[in-house]
Amino acid sequence: MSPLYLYAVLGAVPSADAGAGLAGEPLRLLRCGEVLAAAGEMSEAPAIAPDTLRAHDAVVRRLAETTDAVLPARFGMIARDEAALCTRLTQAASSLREALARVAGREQMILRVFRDPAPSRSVSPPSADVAAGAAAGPGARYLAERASARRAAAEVPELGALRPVLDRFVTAERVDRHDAPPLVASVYHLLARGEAAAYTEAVEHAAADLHDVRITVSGPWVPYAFAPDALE
Amino acid sequence: MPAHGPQRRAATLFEDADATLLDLVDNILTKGVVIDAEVVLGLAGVDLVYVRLSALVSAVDKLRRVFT
Repeated sequence: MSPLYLYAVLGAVPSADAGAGLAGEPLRLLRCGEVLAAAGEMSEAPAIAPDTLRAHDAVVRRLAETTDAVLPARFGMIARDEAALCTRLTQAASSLREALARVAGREQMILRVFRDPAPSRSVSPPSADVAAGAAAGPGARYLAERASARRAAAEVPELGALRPVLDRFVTAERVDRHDAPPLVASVYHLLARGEAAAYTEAVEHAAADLHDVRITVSGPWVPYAFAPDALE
Repeated sequence: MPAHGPQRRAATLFEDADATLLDLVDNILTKGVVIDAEVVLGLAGVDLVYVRLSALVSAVDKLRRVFT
């Protein structure tokens, strides 16, 4: 039994041979209960380097060209054998199925939102959640702060003026806010395959009118950001 | 103090990195299906992706101001 390197979880068997893996190994399709996985035999995970990252992405892109729904694996995911890989994927079958349905026929774009740091930063008043939590015990306070932080992270007020444009294309959104000025947020969008060029043109055109915010567009990517966050 | 482990690997990876490689790193090392939580790159490396992206856009912005 050889260790297996996971490339992706698929919604269906690819319509054509997806070729070799990043080390030239043949790609194997493994049926783990209701989950279909694409993997290659590899004794150990490859080193993190530009070439290996690009090779991993190239394999996943080839898979995406031959099947409708692909959830890419994070780089370096290796299981000691087929049984171990299948056990892990079978345990997570329901969240994987849900994510596969979300990404079917879609691709991912990335917006990076940049804003120059303001010379003086105003302090926001505490949200209603936090204010209410302050009057309660430490447990309620913790939950209120968590809820407030989650909502703040999911909001991108910088994109407010772009929403009418984005709404024409975007079927799902994920936001990471950053504490690395001038970068304030990375926004991941799912859209129908084939719409990347129209999306890019529309976003760049609308973003040209923004004054204090700069936006870069990148893609299309295979939908890495829409894989389940954690497998139960 | 020299960096070790994931932080050192990430620092090496980002030397001469362009925006496309940084987007690739962001996608492939911080997102995607995880089957082994212990393999995931440390938080220090993830933060470095965004710090480098920010530095890149600042550099591009300065060039734009000089040449336009």
